[in-house]
Amino acid sequence: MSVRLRTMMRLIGGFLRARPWQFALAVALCALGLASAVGVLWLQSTLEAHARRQAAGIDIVVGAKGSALQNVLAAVYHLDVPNGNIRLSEVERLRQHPLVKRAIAVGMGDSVAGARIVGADNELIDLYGAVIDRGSLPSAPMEAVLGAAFARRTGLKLGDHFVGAHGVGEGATDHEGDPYVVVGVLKPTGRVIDQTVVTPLASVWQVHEGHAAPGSEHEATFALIEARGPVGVASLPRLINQTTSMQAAVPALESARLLSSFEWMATVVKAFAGVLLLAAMASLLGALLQSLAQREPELAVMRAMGASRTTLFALLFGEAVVLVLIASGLAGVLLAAGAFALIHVTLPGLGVSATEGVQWWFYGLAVALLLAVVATIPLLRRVATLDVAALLSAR
Amino acid sequence: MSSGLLSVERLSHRYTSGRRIEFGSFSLAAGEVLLLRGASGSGKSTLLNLLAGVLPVGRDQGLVTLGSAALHAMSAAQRDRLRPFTVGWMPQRLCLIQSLTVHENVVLPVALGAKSDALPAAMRRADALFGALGVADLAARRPSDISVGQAARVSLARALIGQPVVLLADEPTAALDSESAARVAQAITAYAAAGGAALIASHDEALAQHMDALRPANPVRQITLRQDEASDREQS
Ligand SMILES: Nc1ncnc2c1ncn2[C@@H]1O[C@H](COP(=O)(O)OP(=O)(O)OP(=O)(O)O)[C@@H](O)[C@H]1O
Ligand SMILES: [Mg+2]
Repeated sequence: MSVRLRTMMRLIGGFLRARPWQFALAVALCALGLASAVGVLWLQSTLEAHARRQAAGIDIVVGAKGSALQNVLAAVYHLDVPNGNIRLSEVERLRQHPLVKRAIAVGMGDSVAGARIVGADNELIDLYGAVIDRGSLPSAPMEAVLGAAFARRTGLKLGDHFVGAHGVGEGATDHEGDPYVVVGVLKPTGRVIDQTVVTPLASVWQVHEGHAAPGSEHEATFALIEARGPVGVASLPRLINQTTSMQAAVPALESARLLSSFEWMATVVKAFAGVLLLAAMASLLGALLQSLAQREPELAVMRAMGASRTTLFALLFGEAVVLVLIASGLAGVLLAAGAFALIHVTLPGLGVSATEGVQWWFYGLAVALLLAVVATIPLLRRVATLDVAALLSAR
Repeated sequence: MSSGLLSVERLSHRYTSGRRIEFGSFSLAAGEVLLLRGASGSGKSTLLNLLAGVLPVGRDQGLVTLGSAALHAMSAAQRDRLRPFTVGWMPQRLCLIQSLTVHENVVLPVALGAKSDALPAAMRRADALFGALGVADLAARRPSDISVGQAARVSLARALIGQPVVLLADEPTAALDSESAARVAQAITAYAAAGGAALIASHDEALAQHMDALRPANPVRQITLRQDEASDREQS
């Protein structure tokens, strides 16, 4: 390192040490501003990626007539209750359609320990890209395979038995009757299947036999459709809605509609983060200006000793850069702590990506450096017009 | 006017307030010491500021030549580059940088320059100057831990660190006892004897006597600035 550079770093260090509290405040504000701005963007992209991931491979949700959004929330995100049931024969007919690549009939409505019991062929497990971790896939009614997160949460093991409850959430009531047996546990996928129990659709029929009229037709709750190409995605919903008693909903459209109604909230949060960043910049500028005023004689003496204006600019800029670097580091720690809390406490299974976080943090760093530049500009004028003669002849 | 290292002809300065000071003409050759006298407010510091390049010399405000260059023809950036190697300046206000040690303060003019290979030589010069000025044991201290008189000597060492062609010292002995003043006289005399040219603003009678005693063959010249009554009236 050149002597000049080392000397400048010593001078910058001296500037900062001379007024630690003033700068600590500016740094804290900067760190908060950056962390909230970066955090909001990161969270938003994480949530969007999560939503997209849940809907991957599910082009159309076919369910009972009613709210399309409700069907999508229930079938794709496991967040709401289904509108009702559909006839399996109708799903069979749909499966024959040339534009349908895959149609998986799904029976929902029962739960165990707060998690959904999903009745479906093992094709559903393929759809979610899940593979067996321990045991095997179910091959007979009342055999169940557990999602990774559900297995970890409940501690259920291979060979264990459990009884399902009718309904989900608060109002779930115990079924008296056939217990399920755990035959396998799946590896984690980051998708909703991690939180569920999957069993053949026939198990659901068996459990519900008492409720259904004898000899009545088998039913499912949803059919998850993968269409053949964009033409299928575009034309199938209309076809289904017009020619069957079922309702088709496109998850991509429904979730986009849902998200757009939350857009204003995201905008408010982002605006808030922007204001915080502006406040941080103002406080940084204030701290730098105040410290500049206090060391004008020192800067004048540097000029007297031959330091160019450019050298003084570099010193002030270096000072601002060091401050925002510290702030960015602090913001990084805050973000990491926030992400940790999100992963381990608030929303496990959200699928928070550290690489993406680092990427967002780098954007934040770029913004911070820009902030340093902007905050330094008003100082440059003052330094350029420093009255060396007056500062060094007065006592 | 004999042509020397530094020549000043009919120089005057006008402050932004409109006040005008006249400095007359004089010159300074290598090896010479010129003592600048004059009552407080007569413009000694102003003259040194002009020669140091921190105040501009107007086109119609006289002629200052330093070596072969005319100050009025230089840009502000060119005048800035006179320091610290062509002109070594000890300003009247003793300002040292608080976050650096005394030693770092003295080598700062060289350390901040582009030529960092000059630093080892500057370090050795700093040690020699500290010894000559009697402040060797202060080198590692902070500026806040030394006295005003010591700070004056450190400040002179800082002005001399670049081995300037011309030394401009503003009241170098103002805060000093006679023993320390004698050391300052020795340091300036040694600088002049080595071929330097010194312009010293001072009220100190003893300083000239000291330097004359040290170098009888090259007596110190003196010029006195007078308050220009006419220009004062002009202003009102
Ligand atoms: N920026 C300025 N604007 C207007 N007048 C000024 C300015 N700086 C100094 N003066 C005036 O110019 C005159 C000369 O000032 P200067 O500091 O050069 O005097 P000096 O001879 O160095 O005095 P001292 O012996 O007290 O240091 C003084 O009357 C002073 O009040
Ligand atoms: Mg003065």
